[in-house]
Order: sequence, then C-alpha cells, then structure tokens
Amino acid sequence: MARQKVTAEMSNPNKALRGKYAIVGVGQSDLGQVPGLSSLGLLNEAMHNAMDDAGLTKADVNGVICRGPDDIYTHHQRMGELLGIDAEFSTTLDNGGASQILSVILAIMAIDAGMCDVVLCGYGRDSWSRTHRDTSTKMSVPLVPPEQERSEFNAEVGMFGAVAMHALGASRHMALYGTSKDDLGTIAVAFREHALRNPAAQMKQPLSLEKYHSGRPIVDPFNVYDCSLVTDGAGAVVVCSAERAKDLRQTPVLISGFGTFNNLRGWYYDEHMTDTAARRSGEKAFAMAGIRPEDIDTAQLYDCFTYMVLTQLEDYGFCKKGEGGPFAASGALSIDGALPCNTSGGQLSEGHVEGVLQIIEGVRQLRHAYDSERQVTDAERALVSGHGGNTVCHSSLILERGGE
Amino acid sequence: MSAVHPPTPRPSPETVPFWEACQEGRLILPKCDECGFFWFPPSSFCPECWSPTWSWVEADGLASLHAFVVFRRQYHPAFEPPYAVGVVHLKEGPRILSRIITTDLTKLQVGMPLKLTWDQADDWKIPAFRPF
Repeated sequence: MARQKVTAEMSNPNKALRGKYAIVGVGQSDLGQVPGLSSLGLLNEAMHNAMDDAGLTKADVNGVICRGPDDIYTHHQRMGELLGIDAEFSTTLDNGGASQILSVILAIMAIDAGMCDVVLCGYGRDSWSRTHRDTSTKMSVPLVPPEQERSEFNAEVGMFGAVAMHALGASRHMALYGTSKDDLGTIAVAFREHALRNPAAQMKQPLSLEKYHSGRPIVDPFNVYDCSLVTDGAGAVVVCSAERAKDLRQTPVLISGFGTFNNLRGWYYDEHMTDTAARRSGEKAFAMAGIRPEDIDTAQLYDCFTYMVLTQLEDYGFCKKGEGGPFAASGALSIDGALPCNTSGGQLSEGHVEGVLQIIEGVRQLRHAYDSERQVTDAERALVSGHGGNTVCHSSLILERGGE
Repeated sequence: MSAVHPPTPRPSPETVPFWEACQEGRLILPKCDECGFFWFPPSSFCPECWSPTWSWVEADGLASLHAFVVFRRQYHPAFEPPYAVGVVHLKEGPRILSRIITTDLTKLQVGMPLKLTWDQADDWKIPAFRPF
C-alpha cells in the first residue's frame, strides 16, 4: 500500500564539541576463560587498569557509566560499591553492544553539562564461565536470561539467539547483492590473522579460507567462524576534557566526532537488515569530525558476526552498498591493507566483550602503543563502532591522535 | 523422562485477541481506521498515524519470503534441525517471523511466494508459512 513515510529530520551535530574531550586511560581484564571472577569482578579489574593507565586515583573520578545487566541489575551501583566511590553522575545503559560507545558519548554530555569531570566507563561479562558453569550436566546457560527474551513471536516458531537474527540479514544481503560465503570468510580470516599478533587474543590457531568453509554449521548462512567468541572479560575507558588530558600520563586520544542512530522499528522493517543504523550514525559522526571515510586510518568495527562487518563497510561509506563483499575480499581489512580493520582480532578472534575492546584498540593504535608488526603505520584517525540492542541500535566514535 | 514440550506463546494483554483467533485458524492483524495501515505486533495505537481507532482484519494468508535462515544446531529439544525460520512479508504489509514449512530446504529463496498454514505446539495453533 502506498503511504508516506514519516521520519523526523536529522539534527545537527555540535561541532563545538569536536576534540574538546579525550580518552585518557584504557584497561582490560584477562580474556577468554577466567573462571575466578564474576562479570563485576572482571569489570573491577579493567577499571583499576584503566585508572592506572591514566595515572588517576579514585579521588579524581566523579562519574560512572556501565553497560548492564547481562544478568545483573543496576551494574553501575554495584561497581561504585566495589570501587569505593560515590559519584555525581552514574547510570547503566541499555543499548546492547552500542552501549559502550554510548557511554563515552554520555560521559561527554555529562561533563559538558557540568555534571561531573572524570568519567569511568566500562563493561564486563562472564559469558564463558556462565555457559560452562555446570560441567556435570554439560547444560549450557543461555547468554540472555529467559525473562529478557520476547515472550511471543519468537521461540514458538523455533527462533533462538542472536546468531539466527543476524543470519537473516546475511541471507537477504546475499540475495540482493550476490554476497558469498567466501566474502564472509575473508573477514573471519583477516581478523584471525590480526589475533595471531595479539598475545591476549583467545584464538591462537591460524584460519584459512578452506578451514573457514569446513566450520561447524550453526544457523545457515553462518557457521561457527562467522560468530564472535564466548568470552569472560571486561574493558574500561576514562573520559575527561582535552584540557585536563594535557597534564596526564598518556598521549591523549581526542574524540573528534560521535553519532548514534537506532532503527527502533526493528530488524524486519524496511531494509534495516541491509541498510543498518550504522549509516546515519556514521554520517553524524563524520559531519561532527569534519572528515570523510577516506580520512580514516583504521576501523574497529563491531563484529558480532562477519556479516555485520560487511554491511558496516558499506553503511559507513568505505565502499558502495552491495560492494562490501568484494571490498573485504580485496584484502583491504588486513593490517597493511587500505582500511586496517579490527587490528586486535576483533570479537571474532580476540574476544567478545560487547564492543569495549574495540574502543581500547582504537585508542592504543592512535597512541602508537604497539611494535611494528601490530601497529597501523602513522595512524592518526580511527573509527570505532558499536551495534546491538538486538540489531537496531548503533553508535559511532571518531578518534584522533592528540598533540604530544 | 518427561515429555518434551515446545515453547508456547505467553501473550500480553494487547495480543490475546490475536492468539485467540489463531486457535480458530484465523490470522488477524490490526488495521488503522484512519490511515489504513496494517501493523504487527498488535498494540493499542496505530504506529504510523497514532490513531487510537483501529480494527482487527483477517489477513488473506499470502506473503513473500523477506529473509530466512536454516537452523543446523539444536537450540531446543522440540526443534530438531535442520529447519527453516523466515521473516514473512504479508501481502497486507507487516512482516512476521514464522516457521517455513518445506520438504526441500535447498529450494528456499528470498522473494518466493508463501501461503499460510498452521503448526501445532501442544495445545497451541501457531501460524506458519509454506512455499506454493
């Protein structure tokens, strides 16, 4: 039926905020199988590491923003208790994998509004331990608690899990644009190659395209190598003004642009499966930063599944819609390619901590923190993305190396 | 061993009439009296024009396949893989998640025409679609 689409106009990004705030500390916990710590314990470790990295103490922090719960209510209150701090600004976010970048954006908004000065942002999960806790029965615990699942129009038709939800998008992209399993495979292979350069990464074995194709089928068109890892781990970042950052320990990494967009009408609506919220989130971030996709030196994209990388390459404008497959297959994503992407190995091969590790990797690349085999040469600008909330929420961050 | 029970819907107050109609073998959708928009899942205002005035209308059961997946891993004892789940684009406009009933999973194609059929889960009739 012909009808008019009613969509609100996009608002203008505030360019006055460009470069006004910085990430001054990053930290993570051990990754992979860390049975000795809960999700809060992992996050506590990451937050301590981020503060040490920044050279700040708990007396400096007056803001806390966490993602959660996976299984825990009011994450931020529990974290404040563990850290032994009260805070002028503190909350928990609910945008799935888009939450981690959103926490940085919200930190900027809060500081700019005079609510607080130094904000600790982070996320932790114990997905590996939680799904392997009861080894006697070999029963796995669902990653999403049943009470958070839709109670109808979901399980009664045999629909289970995030793999299937994202695989729907891949199936449609394949049908519309001729995207192939080889195209998806080149993404998994490129990130695995990066993980082999990262001693903290969960995956230690090389992955060839041939081995990719022999992967255990999960939900067609995805096999096990299209899916991100089940990880115990946490990451945290410290946000404050660029002015304050000048006196701190690390080379500041400035936040030159950010954006969000949320396709709240759902994954099934319109062309949301193949034209994701990344597009408008990215347009906003690029407009704020005053740069274009070709100015990006490295991209850390939210890779819950191979397909989400492919569509984001298109949605962010690194290539045309429908050409994400050939773009990835050209070798562009490798560390010495045209767009070094997920240089830590990403969630597919380093560990899946809902996007927070992607922010950390972007910051470290811009600090030039690595030796030559892992460092993107002369990296000055990074794009980091977050995607989640069951496929509809997206957030973008453009980072820039600050002055010495 | 107790018998394996499939997951069954837990309706919300807004969706009770939808599920009651299903038990009579009718697929009904909310249709706006003001702007003619059909939507899903059922709710108390038209999401297009925000009119509170709308009616239940029976869908004619014709659809096309918007996207689909084939489960190869078993997630629930009541669902033996392989089986297909798709996003079904109803002729009236809304898209709903559905089992795709077919004897040949390799023949499924995005865009193919589908027709309403019914699946049984314990005492529940669940709408499903099949190629035709």
